[in-house]
Amino acid sequence: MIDLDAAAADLGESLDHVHPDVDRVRARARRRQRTRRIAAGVAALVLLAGGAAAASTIAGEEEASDGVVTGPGPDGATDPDPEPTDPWSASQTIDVGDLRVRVPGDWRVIDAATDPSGGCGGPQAVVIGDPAPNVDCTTAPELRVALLQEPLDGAGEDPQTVNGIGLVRLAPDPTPVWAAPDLGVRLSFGKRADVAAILGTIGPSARQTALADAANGVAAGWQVDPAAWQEVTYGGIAIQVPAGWPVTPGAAIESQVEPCLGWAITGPTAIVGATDIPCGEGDPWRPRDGAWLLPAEGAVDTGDGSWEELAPFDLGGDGLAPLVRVDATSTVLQIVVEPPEGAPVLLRVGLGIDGHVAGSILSSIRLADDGSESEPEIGAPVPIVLPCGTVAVPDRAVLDLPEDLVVDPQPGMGGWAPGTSEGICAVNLTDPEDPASHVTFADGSLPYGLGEELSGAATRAAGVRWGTIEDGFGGELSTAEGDTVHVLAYGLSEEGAALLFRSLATANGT
Amino acid sequence: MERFEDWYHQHHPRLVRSLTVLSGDADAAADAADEAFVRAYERWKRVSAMASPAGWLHQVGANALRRRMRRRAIERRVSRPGPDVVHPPLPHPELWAAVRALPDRQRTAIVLRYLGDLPEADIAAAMGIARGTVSSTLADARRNLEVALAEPAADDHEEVTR
Repeated sequence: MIDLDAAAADLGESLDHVHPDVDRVRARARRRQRTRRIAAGVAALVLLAGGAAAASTIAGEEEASDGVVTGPGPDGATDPDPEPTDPWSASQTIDVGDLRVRVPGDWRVIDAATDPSGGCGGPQAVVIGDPAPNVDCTTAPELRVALLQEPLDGAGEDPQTVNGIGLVRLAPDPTPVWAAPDLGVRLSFGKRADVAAILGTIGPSARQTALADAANGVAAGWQVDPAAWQEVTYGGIAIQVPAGWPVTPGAAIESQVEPCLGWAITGPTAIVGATDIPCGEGDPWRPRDGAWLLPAEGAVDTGDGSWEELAPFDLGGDGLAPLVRVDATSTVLQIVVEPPEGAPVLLRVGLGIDGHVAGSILSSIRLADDGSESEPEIGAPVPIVLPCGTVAVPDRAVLDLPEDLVVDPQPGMGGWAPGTSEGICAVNLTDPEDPASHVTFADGSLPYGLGEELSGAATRAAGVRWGTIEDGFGGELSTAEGDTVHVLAYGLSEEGAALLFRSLATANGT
Repeated sequence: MERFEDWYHQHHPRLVRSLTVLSGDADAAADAADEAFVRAYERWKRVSAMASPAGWLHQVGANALRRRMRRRAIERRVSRPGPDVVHPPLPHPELWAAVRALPDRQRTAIVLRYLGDLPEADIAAAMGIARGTVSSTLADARRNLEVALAEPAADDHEEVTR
């Protein structure tokens, strides 16, 4: 008979050699504080030497670092709580439906649909969705963001407009509930949440941005820049995608695992035609840019009420009336286009980080001039990438930095040839005291070299630097806490790496 | 406010125990425990006022352990293989392996209860679930452990108690 208490006691005795030493803890804390002071000093030097673009971001980090280094610790005479004072210095982006909202970077992001506790949440947590109906929550999150179950029909008080979005209050303090009726989203706050600060961050989601950009693009007329975009055709439908994207036949998609646990749109790629591999269309935790044209027959049922017209699309007078799937949480837009002759075509477009690339693709939908199809590069398969173990980046838009860096490198991540697949396979918070954890870059000064669109001012302003490492890409950035974060990405194309590090810049509040 | 030093001495062995079971590696566990205590030390005023400082500590310790194990995996991938490190065997290895194989929620509950010595109210706070759910989760976990331990050694008629 095994007694768990007794077994735990036996284990404790066997660990007697691991001595507690509170002085060791104090010394380590002092070293961390010194490291932060150095980081703040470096930031100040950069401020003196750098341009105006970098100033605002780095200044913010310096202020936060000042907050960190004050106070000698709990046994000293002054403030024993050296917590950074600005929780917004590394905020996270949450997209629900058509609404985007930002929350402090150290909050946990919980998806109610998959949370083992039923979506209750707790302090310093934001929950996406309502709790499961059979769950009796004893705790509440700082913020719950959920879709309205039905239209408000004029209900609500204190109407106001924030960042162009109309809001009404559904419940009063101390646990106020606000709703954006036009966007169909409800925000329920906990007692201690900074309601005004959070409401001040609301804006359109990537989905909303994509649809708005598409409408604007249609209105303005699609201006093709031959150097920057390329046409891809399938089933009588033509779209434009960025010129750097590889165009690959769906039949060439390979799965690294059986059954497929990956996602078809794993990075900036145009896929043409169907695949036999049953994959999800897009990774819900990692929004990607990408496009996939395939037959709609059998793939969708446009009569089931879950599709709506992509109004006000006219698509250049081609008479096309695309339908878009009503799906508030997907990171992929699904559009059905039916040409006058021929079978319907399903277009899946990855929303990416901000929806802008997707919007441009949507507004480019046309009838193909001669009904021809693109001839993808045979021999350039796009492997379906196994997510790196238990994907626990709970933020659908950007990485969660720096406390819970949780994309686990797992068996199966090895052996990728650079540029043939997409996957973030290691996110590593380095220990400043541990040189072994530092990344050695192969190309020294790390030129960006990928064009303003993908690695422009926002990335540089965030202090993110990145470049090639031995077998992939490595990025390095300083957090508001003064920690140095290294992100290692394997199997990424350069464009994919640029997108990744742009998302890191977003995560750091630029 | 409780003195950090007293709290540290009370919880250090428990946290090391918990993290050792989670990782199977006492050295990594000790280091992750130190990291968790450093973070607690830096935030002691806030941490000591929490509903369950020990629950918070175990969560931070588990995060630190994950980071450490992740880094090791990266180092193994990018470095030349070195000599294998041999860890001294832990008592009751089959039991702890079975604990590691439990579903996340059950494993967390067992570790917090038996290795972390936390009362059910603290476990509920740490896991963000109702106290009654803690009880049922622990019961499920013990039942699963019984089954898991009975399978390879059915003749022994081992039984998990409590």
